[in-house]
Amino acid sequence: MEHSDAQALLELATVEPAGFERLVAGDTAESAALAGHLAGCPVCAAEFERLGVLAPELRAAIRELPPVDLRERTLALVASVGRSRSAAVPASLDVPLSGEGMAPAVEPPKRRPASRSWALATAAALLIAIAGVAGWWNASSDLERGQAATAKLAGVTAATARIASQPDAQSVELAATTTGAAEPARGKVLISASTQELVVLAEGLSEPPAGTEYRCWVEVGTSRTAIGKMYLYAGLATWAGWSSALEGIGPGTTLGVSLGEVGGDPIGEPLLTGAL
Amino acid sequence: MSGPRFERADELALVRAVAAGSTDALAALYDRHADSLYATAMRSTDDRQLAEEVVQDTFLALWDRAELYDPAVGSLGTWLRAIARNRTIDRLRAAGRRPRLVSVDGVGSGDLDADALDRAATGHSVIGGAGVGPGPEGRLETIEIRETIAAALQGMPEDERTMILLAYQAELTQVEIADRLGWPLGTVKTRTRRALRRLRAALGEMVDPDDLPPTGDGE
Repeated sequence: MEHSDAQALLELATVEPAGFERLVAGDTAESAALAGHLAGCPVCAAEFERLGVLAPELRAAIRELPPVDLRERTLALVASVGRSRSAAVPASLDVPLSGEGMAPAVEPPKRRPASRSWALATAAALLIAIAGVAGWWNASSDLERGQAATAKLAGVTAATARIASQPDAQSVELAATTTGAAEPARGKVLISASTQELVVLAEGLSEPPAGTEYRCWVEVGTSRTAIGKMYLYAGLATWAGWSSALEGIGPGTTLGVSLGEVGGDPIGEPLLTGAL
Repeated sequence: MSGPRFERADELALVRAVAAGSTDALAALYDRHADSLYATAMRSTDDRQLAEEVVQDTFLALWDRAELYDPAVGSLGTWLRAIARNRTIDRLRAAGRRPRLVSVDGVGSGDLDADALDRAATGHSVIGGAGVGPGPEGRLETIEIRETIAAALQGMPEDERTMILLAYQAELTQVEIADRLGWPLGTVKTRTRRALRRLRAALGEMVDPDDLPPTGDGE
């Protein structure tokens, strides 16, 4: 193993979940080759020791950092369901903030109702899909794949609920770009511009031909940007997460699902599209 | 010393501004306290979703009930941590779980030494009564590391920051990150290594063994 290869392995393993542990286990050809290199290279051996200290420290510290978008989500939540301050409290700060007579003056918080019926319907549909998946893998013994699918769909459900809590949440129906199919594929996108989070769902898609995959994308202005590869299971394709590609979205922004070759054009052939 | 006292006066002004309806003041208080509240919630729950909800609940409570904060009883940090602790317990109970034991030292920010006593004085329950914890010096070091990493992440190009957050917070492998973002695996690896080097540069010797030679780049 070359010196630079060892360096790269060590650095990547520091960031990979449990990567360092797997590397030191020595049970793969790669880790065995690394062990051989370390035995004869004091520079890499020292680096190995340093990164062994750094990896758990970094992991612990970063796990305890709030997600960067939590600030905006928290302020949006307060704006959405928090007490209406302008009516309850005078602008003057002459009133004491504590002490006698203050507590009774506090009005009960006034909550603003939010319309989330579409999100609830989507979440309900996903929960039904999860139940269906769980039943399927019990029946077929394809435990690992079924569990992975259940975890993915549960993640999509959680993302749906998160987006639904945003005051600027929107939904977009995706329709097939071609007509004529007896049961055309269709889809739906739940999206929040403020948190740049979205959920993309598509149903009626068949297994993609070998070497291809379903992807979702966004088109802002004339620029179309890939968001990611969709996860397909039991006829339901999903993608959930945050994407910086959503920056600047607004009326007219188009979202879509494509079929593309692995390693080829990042967008591929659009199958479903819809606009904000 | 006048430092903590000045901070309390400053925070009191911000709380008053929140009570008057200033979302800027709320955002300023979020910037001061969210990291420590989230870290405490993570340690209690080991669940990112729950920890996020606890932070959101806490700042919603601050917004709704800012008038109830009494600086004579304890610092704002102590008050917020008490709210966060109660919300943590509520959410864990709702999920049918018990809180993990957290040192009474906590992982707070400003008022380290007064914290545990403040909690007792305000009559709020403490989650667990766990061990001795890292002690004030260890806690300061942990907080310093966390703050250094947070600052380094903020100053990092977005694509590199994304790599680090997806790896450490979402616990995705590099292959999964490539899948998620639709980026070639080689690009993900290059950006990951670049990001790691930035973090190491920012941390300096903070978490490196003192007696080891400097890093060899090897490329």
